[in-house]
Amino acid sequence: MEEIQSSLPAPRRLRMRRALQHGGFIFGFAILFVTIVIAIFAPFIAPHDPIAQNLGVRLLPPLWMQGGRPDYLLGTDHLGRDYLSRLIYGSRVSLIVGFSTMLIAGAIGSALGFVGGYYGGRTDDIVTYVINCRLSMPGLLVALAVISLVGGSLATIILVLGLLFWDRYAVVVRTATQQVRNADFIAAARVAGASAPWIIWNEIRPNVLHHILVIATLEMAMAILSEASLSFLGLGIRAPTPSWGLMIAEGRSFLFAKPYLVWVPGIAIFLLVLATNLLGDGLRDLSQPEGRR
Amino acid sequence: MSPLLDIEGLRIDIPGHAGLLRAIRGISFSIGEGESFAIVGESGCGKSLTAMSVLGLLPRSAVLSAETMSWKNQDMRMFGRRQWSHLHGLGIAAIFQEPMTALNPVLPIGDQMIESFLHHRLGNRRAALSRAGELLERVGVVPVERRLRQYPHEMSGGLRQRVMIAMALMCRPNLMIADEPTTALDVTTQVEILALLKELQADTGMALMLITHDLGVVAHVADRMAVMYAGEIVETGSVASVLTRPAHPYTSALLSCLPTRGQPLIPIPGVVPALIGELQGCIFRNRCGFAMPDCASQVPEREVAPGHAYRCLLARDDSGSTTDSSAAPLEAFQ
Amino acid sequence: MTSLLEVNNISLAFRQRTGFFSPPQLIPAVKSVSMQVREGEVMAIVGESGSGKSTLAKLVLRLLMPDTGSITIDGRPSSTLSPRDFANLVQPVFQDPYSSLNPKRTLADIIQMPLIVRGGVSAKECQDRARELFGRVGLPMRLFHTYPNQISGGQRQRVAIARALMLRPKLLVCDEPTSALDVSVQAQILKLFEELKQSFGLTYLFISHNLAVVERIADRIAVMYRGEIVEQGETAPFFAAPRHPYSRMLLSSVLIPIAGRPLPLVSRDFETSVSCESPATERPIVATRGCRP
Repeated sequence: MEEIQSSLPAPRRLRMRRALQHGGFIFGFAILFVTIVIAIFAPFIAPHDPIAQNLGVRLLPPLWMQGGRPDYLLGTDHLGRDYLSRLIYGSRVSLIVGFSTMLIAGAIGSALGFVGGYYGGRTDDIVTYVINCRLSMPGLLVALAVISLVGGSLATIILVLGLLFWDRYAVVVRTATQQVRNADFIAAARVAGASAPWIIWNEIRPNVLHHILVIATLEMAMAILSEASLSFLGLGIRAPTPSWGLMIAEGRSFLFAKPYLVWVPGIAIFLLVLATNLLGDGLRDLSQPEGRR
Repeated sequence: MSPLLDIEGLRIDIPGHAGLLRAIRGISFSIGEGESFAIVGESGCGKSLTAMSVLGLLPRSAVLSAETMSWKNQDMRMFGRRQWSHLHGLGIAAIFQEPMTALNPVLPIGDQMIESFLHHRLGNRRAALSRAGELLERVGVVPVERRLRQYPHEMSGGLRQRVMIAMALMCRPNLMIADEPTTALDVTTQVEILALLKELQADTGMALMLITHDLGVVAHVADRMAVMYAGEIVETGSVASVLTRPAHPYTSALLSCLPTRGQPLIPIPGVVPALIGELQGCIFRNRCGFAMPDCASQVPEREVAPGHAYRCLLARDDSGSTTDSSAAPLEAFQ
Repeated sequence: MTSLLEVNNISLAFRQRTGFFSPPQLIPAVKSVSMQVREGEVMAIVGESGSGKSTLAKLVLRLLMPDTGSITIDGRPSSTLSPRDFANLVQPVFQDPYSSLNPKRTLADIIQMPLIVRGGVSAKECQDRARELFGRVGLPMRLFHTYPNQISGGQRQRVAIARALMLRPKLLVCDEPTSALDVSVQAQILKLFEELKQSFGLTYLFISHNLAVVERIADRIAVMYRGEIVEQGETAPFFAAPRHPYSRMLLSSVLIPIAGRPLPLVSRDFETSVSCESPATERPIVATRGCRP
C-alpha cells in the first residue's frame, strides 16, 4: 500500500500543471515570448533598415489596403521608412526599458523591503519613512520634469523610471518578509549562526519570490507604457531611433489621412502591455494555494 | 424513542488529482436526546468530515451518500437552503478548535452573539442582548457589560472558547457539535471548559457530539463513543465498555501509545494507507500486530457486549483483552 | 556530573506600547529564573501558556536577550560564544512542524542548513551526513528530495530533529515538540527522542504543557508559573508528592482514559497568595477566583 502523502506531487510539478491550464498565463507568456524573440532577432526578421529613408515610397498604406505593396507589409511613414521594420526594432526599446526598469526598481524596492521587514524596529521605521516619501511624489510628473531637465535618451529613461517606481516592490516585499520573519525555520537558521543577509537570501527570498515576480510583470507593463508616453511627448527616445511611442507621435499629424500610422504601433503597445499584465495576473493566481483561484 | 440524529451507511468521496479519495466509507451512528457521543480518531481519519456532513458544510466537490441520514426523523439529504439555515443554530450548533478563526475579529463579541438569534427571529435586539448577557454570565465570562463590548483579540484562548460556547447556546440547540474544543487549550483550561460543557448539558438537556483525538477527554465527558480509523468506525460502544475492554487492535494500540509511568511506549508502526481506489478487507491490517492473510478479504462485525461492537476478524472474548497494559498503570496518575 | 547549562537569575520583560504618548508598559515574561541542566539528563519545563516557558527557551537559544542575569553553556558564558561555537553546542526543535520547515526548500536542503551555514566540510560530506541522519530519524530515503508539503506532521518533526542533530550538538532545546502531533505519532517521536539521547549522548531541555509526556521522558522537572519557577525537582518524587499548589493543580488536570471518573476540580484559590496586584501580570479573568481584577 502507498502512503497518503505521496499522492501530493512536488510543488514545482504541480505549479507546471496548473500553469498549463491557466489561459491568461499562457496567452501572456506566448505574446511576451514572441516579442522577445522578435526583438532579439530583429536584424534577421526586419525586411528593411528601420532608419533608411526612401522618399520615393513615403506614406505607402499597408498591404491589405489599396495601393499597398508586398515589399512594405505595413506600409511606410512620412519619410518612406518601412513601418514593419520600425515596429520590429521598436519592440527592442520597449523591452529594454521594461526589463531594465524592472531590474533596477526591483533591486532597490526588494532590498528596502527585505531590510525593513526583517529587522523591524527602528530600521523599519526608516524604511517606511523612505517609502512614504516616495509615495508622496507624483511619479510620472517627476519623471517628466527630470527628463526634460537632463534630456531624453534610452539610458535616462531607464534610470529615471527605475529610480522612481520601486515603491510597490518595497511595500509588498516588506509585508511578505514580515509574515515569514517569525516562522520557526528562521529561528532555526539564526540558532545555526546564519547572518541576516544569509537568512534573507536563502530562507526568506524563496518565500517572497512569487510576490516579486507578480509585481515585476505589472511594473514592467507600467514602464513600457511610461516610455511610450514620454517618447510621445518628445521627452523620451530621440528620432530616428524607432520607439512605439515616438511612432505614434510622428504619425499623429497624419491621423485622419493615414490612421494606420497611429493604430499599428498603438496595437503593439496595447498587446505587449496586456500580455505582461495577463502574465502577472496568471503568476498571482498560480502562486495562491490550490482551490483559491 | 427515535434518536435525534441517525446516520447509517454514510459515505463521502472527494475527487482529487490522484483519484477518488474515499474519505468516509459506510459509517453508522446515532445520537439520542441529551446524550454525549464521542468520535475518537487521529487527524485524517475523517472525524471532522463527519461533523461537517452533519452540519451540511462539506466542500462542494465532496460526494455524499447514505442509507439513512435523518434529523428528528426528517431526511437531511432532502434539506433545502431554508431548512439548513433553520437547523443551524436552532437545531445544531457547533464549536471548533480555534475560536479565533470562528470569531469575526472586527466585531465586538456582543454583536456577534446576537446575530443568529436575530436571524432566526427569536426576539428583538434587547431580548437578544439580555440572553447573551445571561449566557456569558453562565459560562463565566464576566463582567458581562464589559465583555459584550470587547473584541475577540482582547481575550485569552480559554475565554474565547467560553464565548463560542455561549454563542452556540443562543438559540437553544438540541445538539452541540464540539470539534476538538479543547485541543488548543492548556490542560487546566481544558478541564474547566469540559466541566462547563457537562454542566450546560445537564442544565439544558442538549445532546453533545464530541470530536477529539484525546481518549482522556472522552473518558471524562462522553457516554458512548466510536473509534474511527481511516474513514471507518472500527469500534463503537459505551465509553466504559470500550475503554476497559478494547476489542479492536487499533483501539488497544491507541491506548497503549499514551505516555504513562513505567510502561514501555508502544507506538503504532507505519502510517495510514492512502484511501484511493478500491479498498478491501481490514484497513488497519498493514499496521496491526494480529494481521493474518484473511484480513485482506473479510471484516466481520462482532459484539463484545450489547451495544459494544467492533470490526475485526479476530474474536475477542471478555477475558482476552489485548490491553491489560492500559488500565492498571494509569491508576498511578491519581 | 557537571552542569551543561546554567541559568543564573535571568529576567526579561517585554515592552508594550499602550498609546502614542504614554511610556511603554513592561510585561515581565521571565522573572529571576535560575536552574541547572546536567550533562546527559532531560530537564523538563512545564507550565501553561503565558507562563514564560517558551520565552525561557528562546533565552537559552539566544533568540532573545535577557534584561538581567546570565546563561552559561558548557562552562562558558553564553553571550560570549561566537554564533558558530554556540550552534555547535545548542540546537532547537520547535513546536509547530509546519512553521519550522521552509516550505520552499527540499528536505535535503533543510537538514543540511546548519552545516552549510557553519561551513568547513565539503558539499559531499555534508550531504552524506544529512542522508545518514535522515535514515537515523526513521525517514525513508525516497523522501530525501521532496518538499515539506509532501510529508506528514510526524515526518516533519523528524526532519526538524535531523536538522538539529546535523552539528552534533550537546544540548537540544525542544519547545513543545509533540504538542501539535497525534497521540500515536507523539509516541513515535518520544521514542525517537529516547533512542537519540542514548546514541548521541544528548541533553534535553524539554518544554511541554503535558505532564504525561514529561513524566515519560524527564529526569527532572521545573514548573513555571507567571514567569517564575515555582517548583523544581526529580521526576519521581515530584509526581509522587508535588509541593506547590500550582503543581498539584497541573497534575490533577491530566485526564486519563479511564471511564466513570468525575472531572478533576481545578481550583485556583492559591492565586490569592501569589502576587497579583501588578496589572501587568493580570491574567484574563478566566479562572482567577481569588483575585478578580
